[in-house]
Amino acid sequence: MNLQSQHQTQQKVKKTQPKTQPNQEPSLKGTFISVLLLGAFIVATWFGVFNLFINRG
Amino acid sequence: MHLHRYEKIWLMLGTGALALFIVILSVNAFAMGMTPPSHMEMIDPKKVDQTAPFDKPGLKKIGPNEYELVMVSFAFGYQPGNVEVPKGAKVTFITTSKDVVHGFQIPGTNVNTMVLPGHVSKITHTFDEPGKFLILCNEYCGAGHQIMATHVIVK
Amino acid sequence: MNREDNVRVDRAAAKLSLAHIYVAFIGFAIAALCGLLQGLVRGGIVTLPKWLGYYQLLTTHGVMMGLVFTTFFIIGLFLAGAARTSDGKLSPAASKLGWIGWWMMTIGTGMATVTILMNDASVLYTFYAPMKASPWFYVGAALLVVGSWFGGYAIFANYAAWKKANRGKTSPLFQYMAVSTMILWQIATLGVAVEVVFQLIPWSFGWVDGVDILLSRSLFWFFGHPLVYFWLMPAYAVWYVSIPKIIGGKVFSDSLARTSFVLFILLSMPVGFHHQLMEPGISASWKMIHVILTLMVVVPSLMTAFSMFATFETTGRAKGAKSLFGWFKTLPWGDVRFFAPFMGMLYFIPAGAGGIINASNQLNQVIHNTIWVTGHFHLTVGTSVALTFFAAAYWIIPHLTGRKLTKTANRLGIVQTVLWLVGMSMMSGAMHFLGLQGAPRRTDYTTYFNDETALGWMSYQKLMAMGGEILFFSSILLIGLVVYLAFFAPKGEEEFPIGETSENAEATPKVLERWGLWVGIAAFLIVLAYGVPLAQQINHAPPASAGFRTW
Repeated sequence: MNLQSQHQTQQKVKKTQPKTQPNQEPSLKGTFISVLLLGAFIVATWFGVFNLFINRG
Repeated sequence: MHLHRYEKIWLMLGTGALALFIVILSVNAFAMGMTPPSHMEMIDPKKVDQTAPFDKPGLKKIGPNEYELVMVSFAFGYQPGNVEVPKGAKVTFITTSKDVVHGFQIPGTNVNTMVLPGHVSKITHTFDEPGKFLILCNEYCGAGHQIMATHVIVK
Repeated sequence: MNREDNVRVDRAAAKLSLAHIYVAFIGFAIAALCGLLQGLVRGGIVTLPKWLGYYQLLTTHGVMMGLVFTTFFIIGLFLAGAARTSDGKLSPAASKLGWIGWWMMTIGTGMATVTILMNDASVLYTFYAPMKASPWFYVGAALLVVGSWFGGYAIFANYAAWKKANRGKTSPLFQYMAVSTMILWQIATLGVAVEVVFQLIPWSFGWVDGVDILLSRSLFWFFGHPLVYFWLMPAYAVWYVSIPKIIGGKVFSDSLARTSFVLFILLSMPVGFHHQLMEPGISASWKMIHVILTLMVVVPSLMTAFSMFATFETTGRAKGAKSLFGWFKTLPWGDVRFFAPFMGMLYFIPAGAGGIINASNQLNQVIHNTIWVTGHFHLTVGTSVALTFFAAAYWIIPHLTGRKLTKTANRLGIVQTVLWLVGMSMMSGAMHFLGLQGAPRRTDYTTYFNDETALGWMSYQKLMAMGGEILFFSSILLIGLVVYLAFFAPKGEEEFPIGETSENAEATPKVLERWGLWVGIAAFLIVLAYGVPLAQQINHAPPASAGFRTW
């Protein structure tokens, strides 16, 4: 089918292009730390309001 | 679809935290009786004054330091208002609306519920400390919304 | 810069898009003035004249900001982006549908505005029954909603034309996101459409005696929650598609971006009860089910957060940045097209955290109907979405009018953004703090007869007023820049940045474009979450309520 062979050709072209590190994952340490901080903020504020709720109850 | 290693970890931690929230909330709500006000009783909104218990609103003692306070919510006030209870009283507020949707909130406490015409709202609070507690309407109900308030006086 | 970067939206599409954008900013300007007055009144600084009511102002502010500015801008943005990614043109069908939509929306907005000015619709933008507004308010609202459907049909038509002309190719990411958003909107608005057309209009005309209040609220909030995703997804589209180009990088992951939008279609709707957690007549069990589903819809936003940071980091590292956060410095902080949306992203952290708290079942009792909620949505739609829309306007308007975003305009745009952030931090910060203390939202100036607790709120309400004043200055600057870029800026070519995917990216799974599948799953989840409780509400309803005009 036309679509499939087009798709396969696209993939083939990508793989034959020379890249220095085609199979290594990019370094995303900074990203990881950033989202962990975001997550910590969510957890901290959530427990803050949870505490308020429990203490008022 | 390929996920970066860190994204996999992040999403696992994220969904884990959300799952933790759900567990804590469920246990606290269903095992410890802290579900949000979800009373299912209904009433004819056009016959509030003739329907029990709203035909005789006011404070009723039901236990050693336990009360039911039946109040009618209306634009723009609560009837009766300025009710007094002793310190340590466990009060169950029972209310409905004669007209539009109102709110019933005591700032600084967990008493916060909607008051819908056609429905009866119930919410309980124990007044451990003495003081003058503001009850206000927190759902816009018209031109006098900002004066719709009363107090519970705890002696 | 390749050939793709130079695509310009043609005059016909530009005219349609600009028509939407201009109405959006007219609505914004009116709303901004209302907002200023509200802040000054609640701060005890100004008393309104007898002919102007606080709740009239509040209704106008909510309708103009939350329904008019947003809907018009979103459709204008999507139409411009659709044309931009279709060789500069909208398909003939898309153009026709788009204009039909614009006329309906504008007439509807006009009608609703007149009723509000006449004080016949001081019911706030949620228009809760049994407060009964003029029937023409509801008719105007219905026209606005149905008109917006045509904006959606325009997007669908253009997308279909693109697919037909590009068989087998993956659709442009921007159009995919526009289509997903408008699919969400079409389904979501069914709730409010049923409420308005079958309940409120007949009732307000007097053809029907009573209204089922709980049902009307459930239908409204079926719509009201996905409404916020209707606001958010266009901002996300700008973040995913344009920001990478602006910072000199590539789209981080086309597949993940599309996946997040599919998740929004699936999970934004079966969650409306989290806006009704304090209501009688809905069981605790069904409330909890909606809460669980709500917390699931947090996931695509967590994905988006990761993608955003990853875009910045990979771009920075490609430019040579080394240390853990060295890539941060490589970002174009002096470019308002990046700076404003970035600040929108940053402010989404407290915004989203607050939202998770709001949805957390019994935790809602702490803040329901307090001014905390107002603080919350001024961060989400009022900062994250708004700043992104302002930034987009700063390049789209000159792109469409054949002018340039000059260096001076860019600098003033940065000033406008900073003012907005300062004002909003003050105002929203005070609102969050006051809300925890129980100060109510949607309330005129009052001390509750000199109640001690209420008097204690006054200094923070003055802080809110100050924040509001700064926001108003920012708004004046914004409108000035919009007018300048539309009519007075020097002629030239302003790019409409559209990011490319990286060469290493894997192909996007075709299943992501099987709309029928996703809509089917969304429908299934909606039936699961709403089927039984709505049936119960219809079958076990109290006697219907009469209408009231309490203002």
